[in-house]
Amino acid sequence: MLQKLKHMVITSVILGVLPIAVYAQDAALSGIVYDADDGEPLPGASVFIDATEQGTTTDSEGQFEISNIEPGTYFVTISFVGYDEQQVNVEFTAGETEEIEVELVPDHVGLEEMVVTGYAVRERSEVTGAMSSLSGDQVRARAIQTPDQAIQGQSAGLQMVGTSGQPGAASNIRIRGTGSIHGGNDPLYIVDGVPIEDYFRSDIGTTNTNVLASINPSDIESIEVLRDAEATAIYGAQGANGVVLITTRGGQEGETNFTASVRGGVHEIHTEYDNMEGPDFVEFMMEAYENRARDLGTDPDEARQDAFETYRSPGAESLDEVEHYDWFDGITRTGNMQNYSLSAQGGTEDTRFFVSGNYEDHQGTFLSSYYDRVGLRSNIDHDATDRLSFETNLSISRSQYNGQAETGGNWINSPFHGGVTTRPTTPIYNEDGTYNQDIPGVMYNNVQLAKEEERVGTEYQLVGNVAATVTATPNLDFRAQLNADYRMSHDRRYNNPVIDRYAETGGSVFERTRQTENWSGNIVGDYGDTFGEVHNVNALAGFEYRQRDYQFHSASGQEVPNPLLGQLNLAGVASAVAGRSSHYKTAGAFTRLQYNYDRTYYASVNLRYDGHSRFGEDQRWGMFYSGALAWDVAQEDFMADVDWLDELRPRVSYGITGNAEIDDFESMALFGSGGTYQGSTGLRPQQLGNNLLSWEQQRSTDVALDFSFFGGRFYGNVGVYRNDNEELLLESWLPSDSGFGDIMENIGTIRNEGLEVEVGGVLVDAGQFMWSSDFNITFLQSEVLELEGEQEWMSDPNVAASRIYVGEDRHQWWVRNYAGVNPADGRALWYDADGELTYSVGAGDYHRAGSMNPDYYGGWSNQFSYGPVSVDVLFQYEYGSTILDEQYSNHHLAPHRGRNISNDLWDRWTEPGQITDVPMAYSEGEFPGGTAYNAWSDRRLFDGSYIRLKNISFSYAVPAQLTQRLGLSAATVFVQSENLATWTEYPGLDPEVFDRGQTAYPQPRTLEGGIELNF
Amino acid sequence: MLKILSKLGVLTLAVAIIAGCDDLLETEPSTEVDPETAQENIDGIEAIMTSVYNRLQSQYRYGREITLGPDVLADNTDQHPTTSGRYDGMSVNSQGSHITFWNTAYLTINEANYVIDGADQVEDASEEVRQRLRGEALFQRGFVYFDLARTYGYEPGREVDGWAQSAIIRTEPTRTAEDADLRGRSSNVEVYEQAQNDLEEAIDLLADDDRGVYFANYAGGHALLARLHLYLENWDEAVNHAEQALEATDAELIEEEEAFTEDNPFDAVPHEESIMELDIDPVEESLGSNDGLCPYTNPTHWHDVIPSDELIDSFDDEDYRLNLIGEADDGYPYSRKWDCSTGAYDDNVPLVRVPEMYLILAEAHAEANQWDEAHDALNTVREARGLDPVDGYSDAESFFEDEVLPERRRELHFEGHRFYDLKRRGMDIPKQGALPTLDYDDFRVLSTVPNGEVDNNPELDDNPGY
Repeated sequence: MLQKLKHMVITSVILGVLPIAVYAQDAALSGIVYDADDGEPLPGASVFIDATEQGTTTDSEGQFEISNIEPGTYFVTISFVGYDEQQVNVEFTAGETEEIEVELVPDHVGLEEMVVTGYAVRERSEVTGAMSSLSGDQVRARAIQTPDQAIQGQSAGLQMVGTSGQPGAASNIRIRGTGSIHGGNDPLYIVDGVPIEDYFRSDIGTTNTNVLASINPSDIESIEVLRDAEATAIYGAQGANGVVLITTRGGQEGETNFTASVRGGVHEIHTEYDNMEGPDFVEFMMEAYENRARDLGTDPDEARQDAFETYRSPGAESLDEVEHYDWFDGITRTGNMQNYSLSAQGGTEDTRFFVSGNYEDHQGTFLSSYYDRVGLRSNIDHDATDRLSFETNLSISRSQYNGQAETGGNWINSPFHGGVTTRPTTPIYNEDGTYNQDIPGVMYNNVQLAKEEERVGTEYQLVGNVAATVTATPNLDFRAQLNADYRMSHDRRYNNPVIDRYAETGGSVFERTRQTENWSGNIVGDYGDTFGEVHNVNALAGFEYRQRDYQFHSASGQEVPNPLLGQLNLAGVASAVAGRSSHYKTAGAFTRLQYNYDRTYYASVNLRYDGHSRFGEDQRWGMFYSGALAWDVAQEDFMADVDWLDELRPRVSYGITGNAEIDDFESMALFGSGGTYQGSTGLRPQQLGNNLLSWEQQRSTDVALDFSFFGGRFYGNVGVYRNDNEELLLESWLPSDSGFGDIMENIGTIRNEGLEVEVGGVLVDAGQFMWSSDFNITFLQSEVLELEGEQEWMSDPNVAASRIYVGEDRHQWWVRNYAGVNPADGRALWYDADGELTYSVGAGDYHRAGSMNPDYYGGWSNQFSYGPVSVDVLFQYEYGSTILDEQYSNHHLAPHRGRNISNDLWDRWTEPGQITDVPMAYSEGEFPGGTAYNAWSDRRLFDGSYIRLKNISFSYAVPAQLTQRLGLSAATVFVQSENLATWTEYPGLDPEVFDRGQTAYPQPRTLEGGIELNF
Repeated sequence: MLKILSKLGVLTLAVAIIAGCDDLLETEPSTEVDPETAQENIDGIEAIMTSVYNRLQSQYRYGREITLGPDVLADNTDQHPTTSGRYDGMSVNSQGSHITFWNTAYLTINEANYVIDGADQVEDASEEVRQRLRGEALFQRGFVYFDLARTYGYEPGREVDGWAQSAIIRTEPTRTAEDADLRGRSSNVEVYEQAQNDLEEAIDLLADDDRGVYFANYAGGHALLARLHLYLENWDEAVNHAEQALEATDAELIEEEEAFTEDNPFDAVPHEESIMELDIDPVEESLGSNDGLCPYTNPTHWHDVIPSDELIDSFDDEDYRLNLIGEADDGYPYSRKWDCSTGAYDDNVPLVRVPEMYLILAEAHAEANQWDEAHDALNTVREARGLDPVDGYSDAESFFEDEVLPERRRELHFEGHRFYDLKRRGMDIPKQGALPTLDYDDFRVLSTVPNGEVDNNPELDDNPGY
């Protein structure tokens, strides 16, 4: 049904080809272009012969002429902004002028466009909520692995951050800020009506895998981002964080068309820490030791010699002989990628299909990291009778990756921490070519780890649905849909005993299998009619049920000496077996009523009554709702004379949505595993019960203006919103001497407010050259209105070293206050709680040091086309966030555990009176009695503003002449790059982080080329 | 039109009715159990008791912190020059770096309270089993209160500036959020009394039936009471309990040199001298390479915490115990007490050993002017370790400072005594190397209550200086 509606837009062309004889060697083309609606000539339309790259525009009479055309048969493309493009096949004969007449049909952008909304497809104009749409073209054209990457920078109100440069890694998406503290903040993803569960993601090696990893970006028809309560209230309790609707492609009646594409390219590291080289490092450490010796009153020369002997490269007798070993170079590489897709679509009058297959393989920029994915899709719809149709969408995928320890801490066995900070005087290999395993400071040879250790995650996902639609009357249909989202992941880690550090366990293996089964179904009745030609009514009502079952099993074994036999059942010692299961159920009844008067006055109401098993017995059910009004001024009679105005529509909405993102049994008093002792298994109180636990609610108000001018040539919307998240699902503090740290309650309120602007249009339309551009920006701010009772602040449960304060932005860094270096003695100074300078500060001296939230963010996409060549350029940007670079902090603030350090430290204090920010070199990283120079402080915080050239792509449509000769209907060649350039002051590897840059895999720069063939 | 709308209305109504049915959303946890199930029979109570023992293995208690921390806070250890950062702060007594186990202590206390309460209430158990469970739980609760008292407060009579606050006392399980009321800290006298009462009640209940060396046992109860009275300077009580502990235990003092030269007595499971020992199953209960005890000290792992020169210099060459300090490949010493002897990251941890009882006897007898007994007790240990006997002391202070304290250091190093031994006597804490001595009246002698607790609980004061 969806595909049918989407292709209801009918186009037509009327043309005639009349040969007129002229006397010349070359051929010529002349003609006139009309507007099909009113029959008037159309000035400024573009006429272009792709094959010969000749073109012109029509004059004020709508007429044109092109001469000196080489004889042959070519496609002529006639286009104009706001009209459907037409192609005409013309045979040119030497010495003759071909004459054509073309009528272009206005494409009515923004009027008849169909969009996917909750549970139904609607005309764009009927939607009174805040939403952004992205067409499949914009997704398919990108060098990305998962579809969510395509919406980055493309929708107002949406902030997206890739969590890792590991291909296929998860991304964090926040729609209109972070409203919840404990409850989840991820939007709801719905693929072809199937809610995709993000309960667990494979995380064995590196960061989590992407929730949408099963969706091939090439299969996408459209992505809709629903932002306000009006758009999301139909999803009730799941709508508070926004909704991302993904629709995959369907087939169309007609001949079967095939599309094949092949892409290949490279992933590059484009950012690096400026760390010391071997001799510099030794020299710096000698100075650091000398300074400490002077401080302790011991012999400085002896200390220098000590330092030299400790940090020199093996065998070096003097500073000149110290070698440099480039570990960063050792653990990184230029990766590569390849991607093959084949799809076919077509159908008969009754049955239409789209099938596709895809394989991609990425070798990441860090040694041994890879990602490969194979996916299959089958979308079929069938009309059984005039009144009954069926539809099924099914995708199956398998993805696998290998990565290293990455997130969650400064692991010395992580290449992003241990690898980066290994002493530059430590050789990677021994002289005999074996791995050097004597690695002071970090203990692991991270090159060896990458090569010898296995951290493989494999994920299988099936997302599918079956739906039947009964058309009861032409105005009323019923649709029943059954959805399955099944995900299984298998994680495996093998600690190879050839690595010395793993030898003591004889090698160990860890395997884990997790699965979620997510079944849901809904029945929806959808009614639409028009009365008296002006009263347009839509009514939709339905019921939905969903349940999720999760389980995992894991086991480890030790004494697994042979990597070829690194299997659990060959382990000499079974070491840990674990298993767990969990489940929830949710159900809801919903309705949406929409009315408009002559497409001028709009009103709509959404209601949803939702229940969730996670809540206290008496508090499971909640009512969610929204209402919206809109008025399209442009449709009023008094505006009839204003030709250029297509739409000018203020709209307002208000509603309440919910959030239930807590653990499945969070409201119940529970006893859980209490470990073991002497062969017995323990049980211990795990949490206290709260029968009153209920929904977190978001109260959302949205006021906006939609506009469109000049037949859709310029368009956009400006809106403001206020979201109050109330009765937050939040841990209420309990004194830990009670044996419990907290209990989950509904307490506190957080407000998010913002201004969202989306504008776009065709900026230049000069014949063959066209430039269209879309820009969006979101200003946002948040304020914590209330925590528990009189509570003024709480620690942020999600981000270390940060707090949540009543009356302040949602997120405040809470760190020591660095005051710089005492010019007299070179020691680090800090401000204490009273603002006094001191060498040592305690927990009472922390201060608020800014918010991680940006002041504004957005994106700017551009499309330039010149005949068959088109260039897409997408920028994204973020301004005003304060982010913490934990990784960089470990080596640019002070010598740290004998590991490599940043060249920034050369700005150290060296003599009395010197003004600098970097304290005197000191071997322990701090003077005794002083606060450590690399302690959590605002020395670790940086401005996270950046502008990134996220994507640039060139594509060239191969001339029809050539494709016809090859038996193809079309062919496109393209080259493109992701993350080509970034402008930022941020010193870390990648400013694309939400709060703190940890030991993260930086996003690669990807260069890719490919070809797409249609036949 | 009307017909259609009414159809829609009926549909909506129907689904609303279905939706209103709560059974639709019934779920039961399958990995956890509700409190009633957990406590309705003796198996559940036994399982909660198992959890209490599991807490004892935590790195915040005898799994590491209380076993190693008291040596690091004083002068028994030094940091390897290229440490991974483990105990760097504690070794220089930096502000806030201290033995911290507040949260683990109260998790233990709450669970022990569940057992103490539940053992009386369940119906499907014999009186013997109830008594034993109650006894073990009281023992463990008393043990935690003793640790809290000596870490977070001063010993009675040794207060600095009259500061007598100690720990929060809770003796009832927390079953609802209402039970988790805000409380302030009781005085050091009250907390020591609580610990003493719990342990005394425990030995009564365990007198006829205990589960041996790996569990709270009768002899161990006397041993801890001997230690507790030593801290309180109740010399007669200390003597009394130490003697009863030695009488009740099967463990014996090792006297052979070969036990130290050929073997390592700390590799034996259990240690032959253990009156009570913490068992750690390296497969199920390992603390792993990041948090375990031997990973902190052993050259096969981080090797951050090394025996200090001062500790090594305190041994005579003929002392058998010198064998317990090895030299790593890089030339730095390491303690062989925590040898990763049972697994890659694990050792069993003796909680009370026989020689400690003799040293308590020596100290307490001396303080009570019972010099023959004092010399005998000390010499029992000295001779068992290859040292000559001493005699002729008649002054308790010099006997303690010249003989008992150094002997305790040599015997009990890396077992969690050094800092507490100095503190209980009101002595300044000497430090290794060139580091300045930590004066007894320095606020850093006491640990700090977790910030979050102090910030959120107006009844609760942190120790002075923090």
